[in-house]
Amino acid sequence: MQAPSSISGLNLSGLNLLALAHQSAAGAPTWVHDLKRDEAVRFQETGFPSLHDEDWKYTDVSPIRSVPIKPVLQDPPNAALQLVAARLQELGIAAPRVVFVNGRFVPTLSDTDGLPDRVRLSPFSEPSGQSWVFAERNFGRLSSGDPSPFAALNTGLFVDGAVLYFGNGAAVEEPIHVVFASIETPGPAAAYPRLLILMGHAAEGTVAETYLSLGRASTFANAVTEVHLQEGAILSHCRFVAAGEAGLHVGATEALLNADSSYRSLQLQNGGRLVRADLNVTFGGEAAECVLNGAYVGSGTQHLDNHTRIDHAVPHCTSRQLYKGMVADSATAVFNGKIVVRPGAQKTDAVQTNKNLLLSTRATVDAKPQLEILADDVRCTHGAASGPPNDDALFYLRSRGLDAEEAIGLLAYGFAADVVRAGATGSLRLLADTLLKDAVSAAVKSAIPV
Amino acid sequence: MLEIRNLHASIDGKEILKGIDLTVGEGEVHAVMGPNGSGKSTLAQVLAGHPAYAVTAGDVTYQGMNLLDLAPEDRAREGLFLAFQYPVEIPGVSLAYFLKAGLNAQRKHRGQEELDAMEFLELLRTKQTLLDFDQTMLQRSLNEGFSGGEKKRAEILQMAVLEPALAILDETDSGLDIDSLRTVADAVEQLRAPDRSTIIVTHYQRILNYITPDYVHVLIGGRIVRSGGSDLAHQLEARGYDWVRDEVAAGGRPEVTR
Ligand SMILES: Nc1ncnc2c1ncn2[C@@H]1O[C@H](COP(=O)(O)OP(=O)(O)OP(=O)(O)O)[C@@H](O)[C@H]1O
Ligand SMILES: [Mg+2]
Repeated sequence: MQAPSSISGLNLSGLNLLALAHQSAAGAPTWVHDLKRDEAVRFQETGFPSLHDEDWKYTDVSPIRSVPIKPVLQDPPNAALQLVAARLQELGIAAPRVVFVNGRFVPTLSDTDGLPDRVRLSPFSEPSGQSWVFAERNFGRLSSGDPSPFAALNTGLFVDGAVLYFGNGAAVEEPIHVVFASIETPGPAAAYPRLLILMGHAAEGTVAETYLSLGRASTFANAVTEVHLQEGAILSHCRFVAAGEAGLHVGATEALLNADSSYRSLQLQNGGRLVRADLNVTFGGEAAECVLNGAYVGSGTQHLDNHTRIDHAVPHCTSRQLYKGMVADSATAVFNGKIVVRPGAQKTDAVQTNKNLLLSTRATVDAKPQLEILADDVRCTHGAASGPPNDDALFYLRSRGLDAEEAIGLLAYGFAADVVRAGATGSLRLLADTLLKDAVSAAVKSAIPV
Repeated sequence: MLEIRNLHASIDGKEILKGIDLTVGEGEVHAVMGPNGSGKSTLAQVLAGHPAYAVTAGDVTYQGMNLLDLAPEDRAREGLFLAFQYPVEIPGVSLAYFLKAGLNAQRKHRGQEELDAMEFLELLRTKQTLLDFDQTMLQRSLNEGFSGGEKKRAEILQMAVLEPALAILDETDSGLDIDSLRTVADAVEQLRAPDRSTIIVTHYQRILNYITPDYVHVLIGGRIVRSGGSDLAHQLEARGYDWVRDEVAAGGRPEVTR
């Protein structure tokens, strides 16, 4: 294996990327190491994206460049685990769950006992090696096709992660939690969370992926989640990013939907110094549907970026997107929604809506719908709107005794509440609601009345 | 309770109120009538403190305070309530949630203890039963998709919970069916007390059949051109506004100004 002598623009601090790729995920089978090497090489060739890359036009990744990218290879200290445990309790994130801190599996915080036989949730690092057997045919299949250098970097450097497997027809009603926490070590920490979700024929379940950033240092999480839905499978998938004030987060979700399957997603970005989420959905079989809900709330100088890409590669599929964002202070946000309708993908039905609430005159949102329609018998609509809170609505709330900040908080919360309602039910709705309220309160600097 | 002197107000540079004088004593009910576009809602919104209106002259004293100096929320906290002619839709916020926030903001201001969820629900249930208010609407987004009449009833529910010292009802009776009209009238009657006052802006005599006003005022062209007792409302109903306009044009003075 040949080590690169120098890579321009990379802050590898003399690190050997290929050696790191090999060192991480020790104990994984050879095919995993081969994949890690290939992807590390791919990253090496491109390096970090710049503002010249179309997909990264509005997101400057230089804060990430200044963080050492070497993954944390030590187990987290006890004090850190206690902090994480307390936060999980506070947020009501209960079993069944697996918890990773700085990319490493934490057995003492994980509990999957309640899952039925035909559903399996386990870390890749599981000593029996069984996780890799479940993952084998699908791991890396989608992420290797993702042009983002970060997807390649994740595969190259991931240390651990989880596989969630639903056998054919398996169904679980309660939400299954996968938590990736980042915490300073005491310096900045880099982690490469990884998740593979495999839903068998007509399986049905709910998964919540939660990214927490605790502490004040710039932790960097670069995550990849791959989702495979077999025919008729139904997945409700929440992805919550609470990256704190200093957290850096880049995450990609790749979903492949086979015929008649249904993918419902709720993505919440609840702050972070720099947060980028890519959600790529590909229809691989007819009569499948996806419903993508998203909300992002930024304040201070935070930058939140959502990129969605829906590939209507086959006919008769339906996609719905509702993304709502709000930005305060001098925060910036991006919504880039791409819909590709391939030649022959007739009867495609795609609707995209993006709305943004500007809570300050300095805050900005770059909203960009991108429709590439190469079939003729389709229905594709998109709409985008951005603006400040409505004066009459604010006055109405104030005329009942709420002060201006409370009124803005309530309006802002209500603005995004329908996204949460559409995207989550039961305990996950409560969790999403809590995260949303926290973020809105921080953005308007005033608690939202309970 | 309320004393308005020579009030001038404009919006987007256009003067709408051109010298309003009106005094409302404690325990009194006043009706304000007038043709479309005469400035009735403008008066109501200015009193409640809508920032879009500029007060260019005059002053308003409310319970000894300079009302125009107070922020809208402080007016509410001091007991002023406006039932909107066009209640605003607030997506994602339920009526119950919003009303609790408003009530507690008001209670806090007055040094009263805030109500917890249970206490508030109890209060809400009492008022809602009293007004025969559809419970499912309490959890729906505020005013969103409410019918015209439902919006008006929701305003009255808010009034009943907040128990204002001065309630201004801007055409709350418009668009109400007979039963709802009676309910609204009952709610106003319930609040009637020696230290509470009400201003009813209306186009119709029918609500005044339930709530007899102490005074009726006619607002035309941004001025109160005539005031009288409750029989003035009957005359307006029977004869329209032209005769008032004619009298004013002929130099006729307002009858009663209190
Ligand atoms: N932004 C604005 N710019 C200019 N004129 C305005 C503006 N807003 C309202 N007006 C005008 O102010 C006048 C008074 O309106 P107001 O709503 O107070 O009337 P009203 O007496 O309540 O009528 P109605 O009986 O129809 O409710 C109207 O002629 C209206 O067109
Ligand atoms: Mg009006």
